[in-house]
Amino acid sequence: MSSPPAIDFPTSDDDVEMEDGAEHSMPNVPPAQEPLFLAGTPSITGTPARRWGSNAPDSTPLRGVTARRAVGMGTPQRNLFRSSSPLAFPSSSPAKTPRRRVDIPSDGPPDSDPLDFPSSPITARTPKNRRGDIHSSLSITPSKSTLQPRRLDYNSNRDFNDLNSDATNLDVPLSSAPLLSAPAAPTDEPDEIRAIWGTTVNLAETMKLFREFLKGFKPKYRAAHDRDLGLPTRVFSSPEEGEVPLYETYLRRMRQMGDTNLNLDMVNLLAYPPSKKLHSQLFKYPQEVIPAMDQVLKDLMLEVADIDQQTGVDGMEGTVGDEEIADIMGRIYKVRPFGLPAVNMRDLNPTDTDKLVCIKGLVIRATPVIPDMKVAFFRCLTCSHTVQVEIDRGKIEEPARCPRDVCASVGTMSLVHNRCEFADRQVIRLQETPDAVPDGQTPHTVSLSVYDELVDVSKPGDRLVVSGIFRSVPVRVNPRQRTLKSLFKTYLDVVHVKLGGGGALGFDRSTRPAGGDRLPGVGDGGNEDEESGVEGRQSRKAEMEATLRELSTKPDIYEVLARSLAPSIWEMDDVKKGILLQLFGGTNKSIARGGGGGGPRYRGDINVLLVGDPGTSKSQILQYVHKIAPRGVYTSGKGSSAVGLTAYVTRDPDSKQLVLESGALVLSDGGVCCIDEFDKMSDATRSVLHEVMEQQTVSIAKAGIITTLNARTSILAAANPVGSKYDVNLPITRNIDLPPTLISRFDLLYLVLDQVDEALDRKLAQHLVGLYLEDAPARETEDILPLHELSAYIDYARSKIHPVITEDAGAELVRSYVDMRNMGDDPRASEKRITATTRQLESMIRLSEAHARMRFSEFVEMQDVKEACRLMREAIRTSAMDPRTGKIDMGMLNTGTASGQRKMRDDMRKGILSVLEGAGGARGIKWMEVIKMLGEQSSVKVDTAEFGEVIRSLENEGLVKVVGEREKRMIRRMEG
Amino acid sequence: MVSALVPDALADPDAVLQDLDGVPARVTDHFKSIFASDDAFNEIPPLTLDHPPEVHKDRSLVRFRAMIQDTSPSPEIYLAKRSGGRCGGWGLGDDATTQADNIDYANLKECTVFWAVSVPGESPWTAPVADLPPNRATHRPPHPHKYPVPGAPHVGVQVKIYDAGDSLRSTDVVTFVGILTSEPIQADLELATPSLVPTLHVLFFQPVPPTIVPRVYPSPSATPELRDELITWIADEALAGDRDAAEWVLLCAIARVQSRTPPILPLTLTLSHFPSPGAGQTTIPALTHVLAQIFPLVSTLPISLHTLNDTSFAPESKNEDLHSGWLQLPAGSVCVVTEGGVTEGGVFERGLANLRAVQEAMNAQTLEYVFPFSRFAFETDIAFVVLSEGRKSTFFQINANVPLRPTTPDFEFYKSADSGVRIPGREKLEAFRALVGGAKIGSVSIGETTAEFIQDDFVNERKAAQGLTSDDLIHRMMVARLLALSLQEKEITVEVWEKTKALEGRRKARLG
Repeated sequence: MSSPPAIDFPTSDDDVEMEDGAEHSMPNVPPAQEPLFLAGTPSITGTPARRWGSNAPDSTPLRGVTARRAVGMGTPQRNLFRSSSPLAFPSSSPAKTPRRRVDIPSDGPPDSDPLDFPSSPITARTPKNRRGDIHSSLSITPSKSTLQPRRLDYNSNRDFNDLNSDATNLDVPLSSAPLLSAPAAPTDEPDEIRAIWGTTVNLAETMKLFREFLKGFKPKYRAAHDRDLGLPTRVFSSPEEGEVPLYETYLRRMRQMGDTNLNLDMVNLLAYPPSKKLHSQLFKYPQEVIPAMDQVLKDLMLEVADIDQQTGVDGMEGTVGDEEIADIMGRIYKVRPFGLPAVNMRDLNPTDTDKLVCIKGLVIRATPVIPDMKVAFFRCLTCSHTVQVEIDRGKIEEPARCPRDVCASVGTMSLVHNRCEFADRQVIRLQETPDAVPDGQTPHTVSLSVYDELVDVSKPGDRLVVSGIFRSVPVRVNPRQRTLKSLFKTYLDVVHVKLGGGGALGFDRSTRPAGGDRLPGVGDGGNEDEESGVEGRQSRKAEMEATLRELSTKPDIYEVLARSLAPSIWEMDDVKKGILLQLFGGTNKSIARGGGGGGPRYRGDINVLLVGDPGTSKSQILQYVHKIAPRGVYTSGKGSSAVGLTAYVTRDPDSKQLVLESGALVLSDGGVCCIDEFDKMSDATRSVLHEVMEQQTVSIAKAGIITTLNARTSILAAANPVGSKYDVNLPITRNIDLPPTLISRFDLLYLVLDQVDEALDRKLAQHLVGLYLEDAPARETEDILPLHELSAYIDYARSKIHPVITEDAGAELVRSYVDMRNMGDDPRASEKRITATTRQLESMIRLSEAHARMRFSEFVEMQDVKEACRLMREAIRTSAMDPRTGKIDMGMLNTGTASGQRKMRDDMRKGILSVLEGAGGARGIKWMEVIKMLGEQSSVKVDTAEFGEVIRSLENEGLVKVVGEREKRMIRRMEG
Repeated sequence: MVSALVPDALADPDAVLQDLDGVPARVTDHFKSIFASDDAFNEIPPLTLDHPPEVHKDRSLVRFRAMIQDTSPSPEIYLAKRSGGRCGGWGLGDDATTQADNIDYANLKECTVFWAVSVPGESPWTAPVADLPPNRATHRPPHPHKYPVPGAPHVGVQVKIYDAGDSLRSTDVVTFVGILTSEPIQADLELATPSLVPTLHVLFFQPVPPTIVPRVYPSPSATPELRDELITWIADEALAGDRDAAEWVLLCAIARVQSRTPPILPLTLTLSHFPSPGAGQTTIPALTHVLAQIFPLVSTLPISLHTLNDTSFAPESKNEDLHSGWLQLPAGSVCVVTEGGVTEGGVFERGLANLRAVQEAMNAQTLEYVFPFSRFAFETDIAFVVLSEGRKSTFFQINANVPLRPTTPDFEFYKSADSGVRIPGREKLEAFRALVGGAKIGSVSIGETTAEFIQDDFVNERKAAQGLTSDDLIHRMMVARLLALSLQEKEITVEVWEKTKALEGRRKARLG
């Protein structure tokens, strides 16, 4: 009995007969050989390669060879086979068992099996495609009439040749013979076998088309296609570039890299006129068409290898080439199609079942790798007959009884685990990305099954663009009853995964191990940055880049971007421009020479402070920036804030009220930290900011460890003036309750004041009344960029543009700095005002760089410096103006006192001393009394705070002494 | 003939369903027409806490007024045609195909799966009329984490909608009519022993207005005197006789989201100097009970270190199951936030996130649901009244702060629901309800002259006094609109404006 046992189906005889004239290389017919293997089989012979011969007529060069090799072996064997098949194919054999390739490399001939156990014909459900992603439930069975094999199965011949096949190999063609025959139950399906079941799609033709596509596609077709659709196309550097047979290049590369996956951009199918039809076939019948394509791919791999061997391409000569070809024979090749337009996952519905779909989403969960049983191996406990059962739509059907007629014992089939075959599988839960969820809806989730190479490619948190086959399978509601309820679960069998789809920022590559998640496969879109040239395919990223580049050439880009920042807020143009430049940031510089870790670093981050009256939309600006900024943190000085904070409820000792005290501030490295109510922040938190803003580090002492972390953060802060309203008669340091050392660390400081102006007020009132009471909100339509585009623009500039200061710009910077320093020079005044310090120079450099970045310019030029200076001047003008003199004085920000103020203090000090010199100075004069007396002497009102400062300094010098508390304080002149 | 339809449908909805062809829209229409009249509709047994799922027969017809809690379960795919061409879906078809092979994929259809809970904060007087005797002893909700108030009794049901389920959103309030049974939830489907939850196969559903009971504006029974009575009643029963505070509470409670762009959102109110509950007292203020008598949806959010740090205010998806949070409340809710339970201690990350969620709901009327790796902002429409012991709210920035000035000594601010609140006559109560219900849905406009007047007023005041900002004007206009609504005016008049200024003036005076 033995070897060639059950393979044959009696009914299929005619088929085979017909085939006899031709060679036996019928592809993709279910090879029934697997079942043949008995327990002792070292391995299953069903070589994938042999399964489908490529029937393309143009494969001539090899034909002769293959023919020679196969002829003579096949036919006799086949006959033997057929006649020897003692077991009738049971009619119960699944009509739908599709045949894919049997992909176990044959290292042993099938009939070398010990023949002890008859294997059952039921096992005609031979292992299908080992590809986990495709469980075709239909057979690919081009009929012989359509698929007249004009040559021997090249693959199989090659295969056994390489294997030095002895006689046993003879069965190989044989084993492929059943492939030729109709699927398991031919009686049921008389005609469909030539096509995809239930359709008019002819698989042979499909394979032919795909073959032509792979051989004939050239980048120029894609370019023409894109042009027709009005998409931007790449210009080929030379006409030859467009003429390269693209996929042959890929095939060679696959061989060289040992890769077995070909990523196929389906748009290319559309672009190549002869293969247009394939696109819709692939989309509609992926589980039939993809295996067919796999087969064509393998054929072509071999063909190309063969050509290369014959032409003596480097690395393919002689025996090396033979080995190479043998390797190819043993591999499973997979076509991974992608490039369908992504649909929203909530639009997937039952009509998409078994079609190829493409969705985008966010991985929220991934299981560990699951060994997925592909082929189950059963052995009858009674007669030791073995049966292999393949997975069918996610399930393995356990044979209820021993299929051997002689035995037929019920319930004796037991699973032999170590003879089963497993593949890697992983289940991923993919959630809709926020941008895809309709307003007011919760995100939906779908399950993905990924297999083999795609396992562990994505991790929770990744955004993916996934192409896969949509499945609906019945759910067994009550496992005990073994009945199915009319419920189905749906999932996607993934054929292609692309990381980082959608989202302006994509994912942070730095969080990935270097080269750790290269997607498997060669081909379209595999590695966009470097391969787009070869492919002639413009990736979305490249398109985005082109759009952004184009945007950056707009003459008014600066204005457009500034306008787009918080468009709902009127005016405040310079504030917006300043913040815009903050978002771009200057370049970080470090001095390479110097001790330790390469010398000091100079920060490129720009810090901005807004000070102003309540109700001037400062908070709105902050909120907006938080939305666009990379890694933005929004916090309110008062405490309730974003992530990572703790706080404490305490009873205020004075008022006995419960108050919320904020804890530590969490800063993100490389982000923008927006701090509202900066003035209300606790001193402890603020002291952290000192370090952050200048050194860009945070020191942490915890659990006995002292460490310094990087915190390259720009700070955007908003503060309210000390009173509820900004007092324009006082210098800024008196208006904000912040230490001057901190204020000076802001590159730009803007005052946002609410000025009373009748005309403006009326306009505002009119606007508000209309808005709030009339229910007819009018919206302006201006030329602004949507949020995501702005965000993408900034992100691109930050990551790609690193401007260098030109000589001109450098000279201009120096000139501007000198000018600014001279602004305070007043020949008439004896004292020297400080208008600019080196801090301002650094700020100017950063702002110039940011401006150049904003223009996407690699060089900082004159215009950048000019604008930076203008912004600086504007900011200085509003913030460092000494209200007493009307002059700009940076000293006010740096030391907290303006030079005018310093002069005034000197005067006051003299005044106080003279008052105290007079009556009763030695005994002491009441605090208030001194102020009164001083006021009588002076022409200007005595400021009590100033007075306090002066007294304190006098006290420090030991000239006076203050005794008593509060109202009862006495000032006593000390005898020097 | 027609008369027999209702009892037939009530007695055996499956039979009626079997006779239909299973096209969802037709099923909806059929059952809708059967129960078109109010009488017929009211005959359907309600599913409430008084009539929990256990008292209903399996596969009986019920109606369930519910808030949609979770819309994130994936839609379910079912076989719409079973063997023999019989109708599938609605839980029919336990006998379905054992043979996986002969499924016609063309017969697969989708139904939407939600989780729905009884409406949080629903006042007892809105309960649907029913003939059945109450029976609440046994019900234990299967997924208690899916109800906003932790540990509170409620009914939670898995809802399967076959027709037009896409239109429903989280926190929508809907009356579902359908067949009640028990099924495993989707996530459990493939477990060996899935736990069963009450499941409602919806035949049709009706939206419920934010006032629960339909109202008109202006309410015909409303008069200025009635409004005065209402304010006095609130003041006397809940606020120790402070009429101004009561008026502010009323104004705040009728506030709703007017528009999102530009944002015209409800006013938030703090009643400061509101005494904390004494030891051993209930922590629910009498104000909640008083408001619950007249407003249909009133919830209390008791802030304490425990609720802050250990409970969730915003819904959060854990293991693909959306857990509810205190603030997952239907539109039109009044939320009384009590700070009386706060003691000294640490507030941790979750607590701060919770505080931020409340602040965000107040400032923007949005609530962020937390999903893995993403957050989704959902629109809310909740009127907040914060009761704070201090001079102002400890945690929140609030539009209007009204220090409480009790006139009744030794007033009990905390009472249990059934004791101590004097309920006015039934008719009066109905009139109160109609007044606030009308105000909640009404709209007012502004005349040319008043608009002119307000503008002049603003310009002049700004000239006269420093410190009046555009924010003040906005605030005043919001109050004026609410005042007009509470007076059931169609238009904001100069008179209303002056009243608003007076009310604001008195409030500011208290603060000073």
